[in-house]
Amino acid sequence: MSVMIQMKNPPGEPPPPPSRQYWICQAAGWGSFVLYTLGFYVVFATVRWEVLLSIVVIDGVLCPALTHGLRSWMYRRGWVKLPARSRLPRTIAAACVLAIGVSTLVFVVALLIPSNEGFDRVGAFWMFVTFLWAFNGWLMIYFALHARRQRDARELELTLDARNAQLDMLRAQVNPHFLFNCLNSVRALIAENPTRAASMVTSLSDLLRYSLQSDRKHTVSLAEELAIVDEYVSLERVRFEDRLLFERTLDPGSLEARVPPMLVQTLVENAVKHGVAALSQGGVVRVRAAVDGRSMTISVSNSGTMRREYDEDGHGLRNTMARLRLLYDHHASFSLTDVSGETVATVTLPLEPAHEHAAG
Amino acid sequence: MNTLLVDDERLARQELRRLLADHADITIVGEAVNADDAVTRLEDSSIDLVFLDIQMPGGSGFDVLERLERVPLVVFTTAFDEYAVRAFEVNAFDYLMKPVRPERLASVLDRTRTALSTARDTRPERPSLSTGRVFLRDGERCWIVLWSDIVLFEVEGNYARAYFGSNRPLIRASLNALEAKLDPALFFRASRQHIVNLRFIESVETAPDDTYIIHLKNRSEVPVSRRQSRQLRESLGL
Repeated sequence: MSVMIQMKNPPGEPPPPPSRQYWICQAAGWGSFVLYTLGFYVVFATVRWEVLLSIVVIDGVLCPALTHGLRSWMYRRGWVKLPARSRLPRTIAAACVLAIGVSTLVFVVALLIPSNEGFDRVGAFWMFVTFLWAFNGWLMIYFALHARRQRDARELELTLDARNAQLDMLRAQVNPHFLFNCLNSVRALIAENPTRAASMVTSLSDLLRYSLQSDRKHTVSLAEELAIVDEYVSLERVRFEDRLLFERTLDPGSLEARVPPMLVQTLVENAVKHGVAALSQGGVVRVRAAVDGRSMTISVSNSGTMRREYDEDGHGLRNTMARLRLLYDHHASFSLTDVSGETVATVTLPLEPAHEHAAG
Repeated sequence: MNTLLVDDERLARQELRRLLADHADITIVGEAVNADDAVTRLEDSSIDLVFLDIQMPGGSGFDVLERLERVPLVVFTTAFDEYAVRAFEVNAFDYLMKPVRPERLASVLDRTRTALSTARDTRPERPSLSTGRVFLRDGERCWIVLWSDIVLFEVEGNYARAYFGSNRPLIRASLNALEAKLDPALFFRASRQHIVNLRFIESVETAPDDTYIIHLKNRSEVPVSRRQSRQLRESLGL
């Protein structure tokens, strides 16, 4: 069954405050119309000051006021939101009404001015046509500029939306494989070592909470981040036992430096995955942080060289790079290299807070 | 059932051991902690059942199976592996998600017992490859099939393509190597290009040049070479 949807006028709204561009166009448009009418009059008729004054008042004050009113009317009636095809007949009708009104006024004023020549029928008709053109021209220019502004605004909105969506999507998350293996270890420990099982549950809770809240803040201190990394490593130790060795070397100044949440955590998780989980004999994961002038370099290394077959895991690292780019633009860098039998992930960040532009 | 546990995490193996303790017919004969270890232990043909972790150091559970000529009954265990689980669901493999639910383990074991007893009834123990299962992989899809359910092997470069059902994955073995391993009572080398499963022959047609064309139940036609035609004639008593 098909349903017919009737196009009704979209709901109206009060007009927004006009832009500078609108006032400039109003002044320039009607200003030149006044000059044109005055010029026409001076060339073709005997000059009378009453007529000059009436032209200035009607063309230079009344017409701008009427069109400003028309703008407001079009907003309230929802015409601005109509598609051009259904808007056009309405605006032409409005221009006709205005042109008839103003022409009639001019015709009457011309009669009232003593010993004025006035209009014959042909003159009155051409005057009507002139006003009709003027109002329709006004509408054309108005909607052309209106459409352009709307397009610009939508583009800006889309860019912001896309950025926010990207940041949301890129929110680093705890790897589900790790999570369920952890829960499995907890289950095993409940029988073997209940105290350890209990502390594992607390660590896991802290890590999950931190990860879930990581999108609320753009940055955290490195100290906060490393506290969570410690929880994570303690959990992985339960799984991997003596296969996992963890070392950290930190510059004294680095602990206060700001980093995006889950940045170091993601790199450590990746290092454990490739440097410990993938190697039967296990391996070492090292975190180093060094402050150098206005930037900080964090490196996370793991035993073993990069292995291409683990391509699907590149996802976490691509995420990290994309987050860095969104937060710091080109001021941060990331690299992943093989150095003498170890894989080293290196991030360099500016020490000043992350740009808030990504927040929109 | 002689059972092998394969997982790189000690606690995971221990948890599985604890859960299996409720099932009296399960005898855990060993544990393996990585892919190489698992392959070595699985070459022992007395193992009936293996609980196999997917993500392990040195290769995945799938890699382990691919290296085996004869695959026991397999129950995959995984913590979270979207791709693998999709493969299981499509091909009805048995798998367990860690942490393991005891009821789920019980139902998996029930199915395993049935599968094992059917295998023992219909195919008495013979040390031939043809009685065992093989693990086959084609991109994201994988299967564990009985060798004897494969209809046809066809040469493809240095490897062979196995036809069964509507699937035709590649086997990383040459046709000659396969011929040497397969039970000649069940498989027939028709030509350089093909080995056919005798169980799946629908009819044999005589070609004008005194050779044969085998029509298989999957509606494919396999021409028999001149030399092999003679042998076919002898073995079928034509």
